[in-house]
Amino acid sequence: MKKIVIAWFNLLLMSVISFPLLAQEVCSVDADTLGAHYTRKIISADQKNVQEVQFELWRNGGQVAHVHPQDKITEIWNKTASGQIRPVRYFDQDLRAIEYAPDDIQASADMLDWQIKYQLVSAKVIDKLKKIEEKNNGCATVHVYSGRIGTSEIIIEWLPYTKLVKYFSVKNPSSNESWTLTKQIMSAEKIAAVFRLRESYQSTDYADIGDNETDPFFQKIIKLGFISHGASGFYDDMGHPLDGDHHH
Amino acid sequence: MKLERLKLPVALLLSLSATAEAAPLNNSQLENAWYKDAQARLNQRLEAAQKSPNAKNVILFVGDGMGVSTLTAARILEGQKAGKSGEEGYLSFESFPYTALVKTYNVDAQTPDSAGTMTAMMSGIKTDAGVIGVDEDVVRSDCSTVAGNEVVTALELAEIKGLSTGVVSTARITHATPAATYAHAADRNWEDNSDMPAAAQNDCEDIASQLINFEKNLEQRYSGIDVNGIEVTFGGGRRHFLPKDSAYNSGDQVSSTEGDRTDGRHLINEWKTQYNNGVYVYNQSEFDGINTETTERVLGLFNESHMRYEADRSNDTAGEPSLSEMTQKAINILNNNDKGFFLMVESGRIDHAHHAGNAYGALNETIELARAVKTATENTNPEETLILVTADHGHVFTIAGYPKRGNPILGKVVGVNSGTPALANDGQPYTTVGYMNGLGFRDLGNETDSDASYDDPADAGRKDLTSVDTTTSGYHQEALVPLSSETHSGEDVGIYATGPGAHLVSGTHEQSMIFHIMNHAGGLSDTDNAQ
Repeated sequence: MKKIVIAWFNLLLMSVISFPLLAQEVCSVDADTLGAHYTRKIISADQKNVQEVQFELWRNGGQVAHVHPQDKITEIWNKTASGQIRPVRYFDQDLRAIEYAPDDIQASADMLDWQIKYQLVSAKVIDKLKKIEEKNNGCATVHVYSGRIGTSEIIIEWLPYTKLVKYFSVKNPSSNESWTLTKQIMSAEKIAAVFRLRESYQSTDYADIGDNETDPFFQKIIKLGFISHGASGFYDDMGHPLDGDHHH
Repeated sequence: MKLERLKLPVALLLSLSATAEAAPLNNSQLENAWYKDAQARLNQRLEAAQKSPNAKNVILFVGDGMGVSTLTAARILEGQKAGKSGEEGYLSFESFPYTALVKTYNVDAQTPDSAGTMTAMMSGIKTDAGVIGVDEDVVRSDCSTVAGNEVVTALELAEIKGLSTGVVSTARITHATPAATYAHAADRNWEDNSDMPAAAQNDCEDIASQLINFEKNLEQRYSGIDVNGIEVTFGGGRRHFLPKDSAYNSGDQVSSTEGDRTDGRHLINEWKTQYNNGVYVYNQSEFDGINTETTERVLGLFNESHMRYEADRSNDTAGEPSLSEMTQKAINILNNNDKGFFLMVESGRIDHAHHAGNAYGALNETIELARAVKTATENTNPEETLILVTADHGHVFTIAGYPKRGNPILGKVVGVNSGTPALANDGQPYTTVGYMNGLGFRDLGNETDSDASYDDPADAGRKDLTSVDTTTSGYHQEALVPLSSETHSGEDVGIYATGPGAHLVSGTHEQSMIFHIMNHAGGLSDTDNAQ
């Protein structure tokens, strides 16, 4: 058992070391500046309930955006100088935003993991899976991982150069969920526009909500509820929230 | 019947009189600690009433959202932190000789907001909620209604009189309470130009710009006067002073782009250009380096938005001074003027912690305010300095149940002669302090940022607290009505006064009376300079 672990570690180490060389040789894409559209499909175990939603991931330098088109809500994170993650929630229909302080996200260490915002899947999850296939094709190179975490059977098709999930599937006793990459955007202009649009919204500091209770927008958002922490990504190695729950 | 009702008090009086003659005050009563304490306070009042009403300096402390229940709970917490029961203590300003109640409603609101209430305190007139330094004829958010409806503030009068002036807050310095000392706006949220409707940006000036242009604007409004501008400004809110361009980030920012201004103006640089001898500071070490004897003017902006909660202050990257440190520094600069000074100090985050439903945060902010007041009393001459301590409004925060003496104020109710938490009719324990509305229950352990709960929906109603430590910094009390944020309350707040003119603080006042007391005691409008 020990030998297997060491072998797996060496393989992982070798692949990590070899990535930059491969990237320089065959792919010069800037993984920090891109857009990715996903279709997320959740089917209940009894096949009676099928839910399909769209999701967009955008990266622009030190910022990451998660766009939920159906909910008309966007969340943008940036890293602070102290290494914390700072979220701003944009309400795309109302053209309003609420700015949170870095410490305000009450969540597990995984939720504070920049990787999860950046690439939707934590390295911890990938580490727990087995690489079953590698299709080398320049920037489109795909690594396929598979395995079981808790009660979930997971398959991940991973694009190492763009650090994007191409396909993700999780099957567990309650549901079958899949995320499929439908579109990649590399146009710096289009990417910047996504962030610029949101920055033009009227924003309110989280701490000032109480002084603006009569603002119809704030009266409305409490009824709208909140984007759940598990709504954009498939997360950690502890099994939550890989079950496809989508609380809005 | 009427005769009988009259007879009874007379009979009672005679009886008491007879008792007093038969059994005069004995030593055990005279030496009783409660008796001696009350007698000493009576003597203090008699002495204070003889003093001159003329104040050279005026300091107004405002605990934003610091209602009476907050004071009581903070007083108990302060005592319990010192190992005492807590109930018997006093916050520093609760020992002041004069106290009154203040009616806080706005002209258009039964439960007020900070903009309308602070305008009342600073300008002597009640006005609408949400507007700054203007009267009730202004329509909120309508720039065209501002001109002609601006009211003069106590700080402006002090400037015109030639006093040194200062504004200190732990909130953004452009937030409603500090803004009402120097600005005039149809909307409290117009903190920088990007907060204003496009149409308003031409004819109305945002609040941050008004702070920087304070001297020029005041001289334009009152022809013939010559003022020298605000000497001390300490607070948060850098984002309203910087262009929306990451090239101007301070290094202490949390946003990708710290500045919010879309007009390209860099107000901190404008301030530096305007005041060659001015000192700009943005962190603790620069603050500590200010020489109060040689510094004539200082602008300190210590956070992109509001400054940290006192309980959370050590987590700031660049370091922020405490309210008491800022108060001391401000006084030591302002008192270089022989004519005197006017200073407003706001503890802005009592309000925010309450809005978040976190009593621990609100009470610790209040204790720090009491520390700041103590600093002020220790660094000023009581014969010449009027110090007022009040709140703009209260919160729906209550102290309830029948806990025994010394029971932890943030703990669960444990009744008299009991060692275990009392149970409500639902069989669950309950806390002494709680909220009428708001986000409700959270158990965030040792979290010291009161706002850490805003990212989750309200969780109102009763919870099983059996295994919850409700005394931790991250505990948020239960609330009855679910709201996105706990609300202000409409009841009266207290005002505490010491120094020349303090005796005017007595009874129940409209909030606008506070201006008149400061104006009278400080002679703020008695000036040859004013037009």
